[in-house]
Amino acid sequence: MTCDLVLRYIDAYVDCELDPTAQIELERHLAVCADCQERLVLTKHLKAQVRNSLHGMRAPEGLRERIGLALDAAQAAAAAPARDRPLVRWIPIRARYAVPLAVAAGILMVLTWSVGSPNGDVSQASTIPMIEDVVRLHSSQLPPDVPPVQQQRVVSPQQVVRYFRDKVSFPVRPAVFERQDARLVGARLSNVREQRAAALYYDVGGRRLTVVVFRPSRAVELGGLQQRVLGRELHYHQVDGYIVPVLKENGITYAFAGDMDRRSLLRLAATARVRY
Amino acid sequence: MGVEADTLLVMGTRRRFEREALDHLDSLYGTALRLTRSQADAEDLVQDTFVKAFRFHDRFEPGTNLKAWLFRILTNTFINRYRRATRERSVLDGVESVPVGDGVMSRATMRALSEPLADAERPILAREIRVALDSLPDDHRLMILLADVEELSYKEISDIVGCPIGTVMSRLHRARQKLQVLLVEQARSLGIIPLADDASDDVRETVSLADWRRRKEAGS
Repeated sequence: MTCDLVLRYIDAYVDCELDPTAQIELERHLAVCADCQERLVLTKHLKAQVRNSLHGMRAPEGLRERIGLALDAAQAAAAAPARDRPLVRWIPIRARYAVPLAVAAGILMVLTWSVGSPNGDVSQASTIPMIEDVVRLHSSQLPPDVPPVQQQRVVSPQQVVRYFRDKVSFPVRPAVFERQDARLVGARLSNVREQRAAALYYDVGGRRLTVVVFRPSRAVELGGLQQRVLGRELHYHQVDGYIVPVLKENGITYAFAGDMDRRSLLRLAATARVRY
Repeated sequence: MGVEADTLLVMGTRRRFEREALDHLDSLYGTALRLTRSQADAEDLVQDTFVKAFRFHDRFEPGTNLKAWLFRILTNTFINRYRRATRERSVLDGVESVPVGDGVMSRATMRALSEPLADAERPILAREIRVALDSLPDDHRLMILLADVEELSYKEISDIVGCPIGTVMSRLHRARQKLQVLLVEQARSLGIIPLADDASDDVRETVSLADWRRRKEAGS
C-alpha cells in the first residue's frame, strides 16, 4: 500500500471500519513509514479531541418540558382529528367573538411605547439578539402548534389565549389590526433568548406577518430607530434586512416581522391593538 | 369527558415514546446546536424532531436503532428547513472558501498537533475545535458530529444521511482533512506550532497535491 492509499483509508482505519485485508496491508505500510505513523497518531488524536471537546452537551433546562408541551399538542391533534370536529361548535365561538370585537374599539388598548430614555447604547446591544431571534422566528416559518381549522383557515384568539395560558408566565393577547385582511392563522411556543415567547402568525393580504410576544428577563430599552406613523411615535429595528417595529405594553414586548413592504409593516404596527 | 380506548392507547404510546426517545435528548440537542450554531434554532429543531418522531412513531420498527432513527429525522428536518438560513449565514462569513489542502502537512506539524496538551491549553483547544467545526460546510460538519462525537458506525451514518457507506467514508475523510487544515492555521496563529515548517514537507506535499487533483477531477 502506498502513502496515497493510506491517507485515503486512515480515517476508516481509525474508526475500525476497514475490512480485514485492507487493514493488514495498511498496518504493513505503517510499520515502515514514519510519515504515515505520524498521520495515524494525529488522526486518532484529533478524533479524540473532537469528542472530548463536544461530547456530553446537556440540553438546556426547560427544553424537555417544552417538548412535552409540543407532544401534548400533537397528541391532542391525533386524538381528535380536525375532520371530526363539528363545525357547529366552531361557529358560536366565532360569532361570540366577532360581535364584541366590532364594538370593542373603545375598550381596545392602544399598544404604546413606554417612554424611557431615548438613547441607550448599552441596552441597545442587549436588544439586538432578541430582535434577531424575532427575525429568525419569522424567516424559519416553523409549523404552528395551534394550526388553523381547515375550513376557516383562521385561528380564534381564544384558542391562542387558552393555548398559552399555562405555557408562558404572561398573558398572551393576540393583536388585532385596522386592516380587515389581517387574519390570525396560527401560533407557536418558542423562545427569545432564554425566555419563552409566543409567536403569532398572521396572514395580511397574502403576506406573512409574525408577531412575537415576550417578556424580557429584565427591563431593557427597546431603542432602535424612530418614526412617526399615523400620529404615533414608532420604534423599530433593522436586522438582517428586516424592519422590526417594537411595541411595549405592561412590560410585555410585541415585535413585528413581516414580508410586506416597510410602509405597510409600520402602519400595521402603528394600528396594532390588544383586547384589554 | 369520557376517556375512550383510543385516548388510552395514545397515552400509553406517548409514555413509552417519551421514556425511550427522551433518553437521546442531550445527544440530539448537542448535534442540533453544532448544526444550527444557534441555541434558539437548536431548541426548535429538537422540538420539531420529537414531534415528528411522535407523529410517525408507527413507522419505527421496534427493536431497531431508535437513536439512528431520531438522528435521521433531525438531519432531514435540518436540511429541509433550517439549512437555507444557516447556509446564507455561512456564505456571509466566507467559510465556503475553506481550503481543501489535503495532507499538506509536515511531520513536525503533525507531531506538534498530536502532542499531549497542558491543562491550561485544553479549554483553548476545545474552543478552537468548535470554531473550526462551525466553519465547515454542513455536510462535513454532520459527518464529524455523527462519527466522532456520537461515535456512530458508518452503517448507521449511511442510514441517517441516506447515502452509501463509501460516500460516508470519503465525506468523512474530506471533513477531517478540512478540519485539520483549519486547526493548523489556528494553531499557527496562536503560536502553538511554529509559523514556518521545516524541511520534511517536500515529498508529502507533491504526493498529496497530485492525489488531491486526481480526486478533484474524479469529482468525489
